[in-house]
Amino acid sequence: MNKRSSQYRHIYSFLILMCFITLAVGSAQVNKIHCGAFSIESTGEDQKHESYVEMDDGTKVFGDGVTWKSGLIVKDQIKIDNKTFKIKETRGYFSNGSYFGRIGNSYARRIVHGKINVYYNSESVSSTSTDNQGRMRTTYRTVCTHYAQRGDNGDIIPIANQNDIKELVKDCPASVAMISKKDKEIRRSIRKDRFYLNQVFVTYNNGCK
Amino acid sequence: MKITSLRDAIINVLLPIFFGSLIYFIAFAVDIAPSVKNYLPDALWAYSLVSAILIVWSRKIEVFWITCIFVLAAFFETVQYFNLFPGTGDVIDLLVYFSSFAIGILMNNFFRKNFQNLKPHKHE
Repeated sequence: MNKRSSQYRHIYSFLILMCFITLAVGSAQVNKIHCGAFSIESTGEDQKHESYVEMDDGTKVFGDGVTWKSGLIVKDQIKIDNKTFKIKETRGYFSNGSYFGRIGNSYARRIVHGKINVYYNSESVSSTSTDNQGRMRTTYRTVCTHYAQRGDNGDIIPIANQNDIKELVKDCPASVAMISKKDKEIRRSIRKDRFYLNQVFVTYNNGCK
Repeated sequence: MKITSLRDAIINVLLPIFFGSLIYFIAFAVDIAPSVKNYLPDALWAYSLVSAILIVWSRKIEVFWITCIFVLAAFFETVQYFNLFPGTGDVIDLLVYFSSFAIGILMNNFFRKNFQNLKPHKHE
């Protein structure tokens, strides 16, 4: 390997490293919407509604209790009374006063309903670290994911930060003003009013009033 | 030589990156086991990186750059651990990176022989 060729290889190696760093940085998922950011207390759903499974074509199958299971070795299915359906054939289900929209092979709870729907899901994730004596420690934390959907038939897409929300409500100045505050001010507003972020969407859904 | 290097790059660099990205993006829409969703794209990224470096050096182990990528992985997880960079610093992530680098290096002689038509590299 001559000197010139070796120089080129060093340059290529450096460029490769830069490309892979860019890829890693770009894919580092930053979810800035923490678990308590949206209120999940008042969802505005009709609490007296009977349980039902909503199929992909919009038809509803009513019953008393809804159960579902999903996983690598189990069949992905949802059951209402004695009727069983494939999860992929459903749009969502209503149970115990909450509506759950389908995301892949599972469901997320709808916390705002209207022109833009907001959904919420939480899961427990573990991370392992070692202390200075080499002891491994596993900690568990709850990771919350929020999703938005335009209308009841739109795609359910994840929302991870202020910009995602701003983009969704961009044609409503009142909502944009609420979400365009500085991070610190938004946190303060949420502390004062647990329904603050929900209100951004509720305002939008009520014709920007 | 160029064609075999290209095949090597497609199989060991582009395909792992493609499948890693696929898992990363479909994880938003499809329910994937957390261990697959969290670690497999990282493993494929690391394997692809070590392979790219090895291919540039005609599958000769260039100690400086191989050390660089190990240090880079350790640095990346450390800054995440101390919240200096978005993400979660995790020892398992680091083990996944190092294992993938090791797999790439262990398979080096096989690819050197089959794709680059060169004699297996002897570690000194």
